[in-house]
Amino acid sequence: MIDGLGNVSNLTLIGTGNPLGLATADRLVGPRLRHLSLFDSDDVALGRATSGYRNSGIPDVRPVLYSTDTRHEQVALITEGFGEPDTDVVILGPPAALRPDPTWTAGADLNLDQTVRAGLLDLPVIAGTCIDLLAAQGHGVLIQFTHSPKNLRKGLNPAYCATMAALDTVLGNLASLAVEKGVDVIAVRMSPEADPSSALDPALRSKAMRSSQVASLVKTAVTKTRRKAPQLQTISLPKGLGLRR
Amino acid sequence: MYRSQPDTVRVQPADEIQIVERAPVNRPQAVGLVSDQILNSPARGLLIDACDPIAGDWASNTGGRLVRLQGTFAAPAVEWINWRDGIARIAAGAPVGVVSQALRSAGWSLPVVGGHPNATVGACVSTNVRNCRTSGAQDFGSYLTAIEYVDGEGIPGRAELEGRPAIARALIGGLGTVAAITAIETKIEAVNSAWTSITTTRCDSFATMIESFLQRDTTFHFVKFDHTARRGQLGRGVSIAARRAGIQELPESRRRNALESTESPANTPHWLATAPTRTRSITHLWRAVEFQSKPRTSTSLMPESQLHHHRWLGLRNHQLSFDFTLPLQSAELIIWLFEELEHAQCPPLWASAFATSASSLSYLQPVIDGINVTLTLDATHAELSSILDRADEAICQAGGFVLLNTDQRLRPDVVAAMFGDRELWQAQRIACDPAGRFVSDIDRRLFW
Repeated sequence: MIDGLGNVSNLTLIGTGNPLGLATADRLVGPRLRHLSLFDSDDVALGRATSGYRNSGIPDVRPVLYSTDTRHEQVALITEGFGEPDTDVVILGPPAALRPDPTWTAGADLNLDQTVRAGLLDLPVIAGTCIDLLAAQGHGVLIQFTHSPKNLRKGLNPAYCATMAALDTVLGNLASLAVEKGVDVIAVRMSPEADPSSALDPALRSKAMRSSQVASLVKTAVTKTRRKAPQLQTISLPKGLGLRR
Repeated sequence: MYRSQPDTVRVQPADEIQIVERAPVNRPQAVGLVSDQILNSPARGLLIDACDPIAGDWASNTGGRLVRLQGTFAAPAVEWINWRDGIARIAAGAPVGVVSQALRSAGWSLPVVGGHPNATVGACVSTNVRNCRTSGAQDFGSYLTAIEYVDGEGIPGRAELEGRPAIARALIGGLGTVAAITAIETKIEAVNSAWTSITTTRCDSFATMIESFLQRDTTFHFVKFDHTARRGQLGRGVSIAARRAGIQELPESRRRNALESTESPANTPHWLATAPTRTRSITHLWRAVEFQSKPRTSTSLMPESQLHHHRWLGLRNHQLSFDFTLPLQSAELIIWLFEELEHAQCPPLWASAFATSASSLSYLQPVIDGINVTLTLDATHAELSSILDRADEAICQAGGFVLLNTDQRLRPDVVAAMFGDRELWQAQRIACDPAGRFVSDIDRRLFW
């Protein structure tokens, strides 16, 4: 249960390959955190995150590797990971922003690469399972990251941005369902340029926000879930662009 | 004696209120409605509404179904008064402020007039509220004579407190997780007027403040620390002693509105209110107790009793209440905590204290001889968590405890060390609610 100071005692991070998810988890890690569950389909990213969090002194870090596009296995693994005690916060991290095939050119057919698979096949299944499990607990916070759909400028990762824009619709509908079931949802909607993972070339990140900035905003929103009925909090970034739903 | 009233049982799921209204029914039928709601709720998913922003943790709705007791469970607030024995039967869903007003209009008062005025009577029993009495018992549960409830299996019951049964001890201070309290019978006190006479005295040091705790010649007594004090001035403040004002003490204009004694037909003492009591802003009181701007002693204050005793202070989202009790010999821990907070540049927004005396029926809410301190702090401060964690351990080692009814951040391991009767409470709780339907936020955080 999240305490009056916003401290989390049991945290779940889905997807360990994107800096936004990792930075948000880092921001929520505190002295009261006892259990951290990490889920990913990429064993390299999962191993790196697990060793990092174990070194930070969290008593119980549980890594879970699942295969992509295996609905029943994913549901079973997530359900098993939601053991005792209750999970306070689930971070639905964005998929890892892998670079597309160098031979890909604009206008060509978009291959279902790993980013798209992880985003559009796995995340909706995992999100739906987490919502059901949080609703069964009777409390909990779900944090999700999406892009506000807009035309992409040159230099952005097309597969990643397309996936995040599509997730905006999919997860948006799931979020409404989650709130009806009594789950708090914090939806972070970013402009593609503001997402630090969007740029193909690091030199073109001038408009990107730092992951830690986004994580601080999410942390504040988590604290505000106290003493309120479950609701959907939308954080539109960058602020001032009128990116409201 | 039950009065037939229209019944409304409101069930609030996560996002909206579904209103289930029935035709006017009598009380047994209303209890049946509550039983239905309990039996139809999932495990670990039923909160009983307390309407208490002070006890924000266990009463807040962060998921689960919220049952609000209304209809015959809220009105009339006072069902009957036994004038000869000084006992009243009170609806559990009524706000305690309304109960205070109803009793006072009849010339009586609750023995413990604490808690937020909007908190329900059931919540006051479930958190075992207390006030700053300097003599006699200080917690609400000590004055109860009977509690009616519906347990986790939907079975109504009644616990007489004469023999101190285990179910009653589990219900008092049980944080709303043992059963749904539907009515109580409690001892009440006869009062002369609706006003309180207050004397404030400035104390320039912490030692003087401690000495003021030992004065037990007034009905109510607490101290307000000067939260703006720094370094060597830490612990100074204002001592506030209060007692119920007699009619002869009131100004002539108020005396006309005071309570008058008459003889009832049955030759029992009967007090009648001749006019509605006047209300007065409590800011007038607090404006007068500022440390430096007022004379050392002031006796001219006379606010209305209800405004003085019921705490209107609501916590905002960025504020945190830290409420703990220490043995008198460990009072220096208070200064240590003030120094820690000052060093971290996180001074309290409010700090007050009153003396406590050992008497309690509750398993989870003990009362010891010592000092109860209430701090309101800025919850957004980065170092607050570690400071209060150290304070928890120091309080526990000194033989004190942190009050559960306002707690929002205790660790489960510290709770296990603080409250010795926790296992007895858990056993009784399982007996009352084997399916584990009742739940609260503090329960989720500390006892799972």
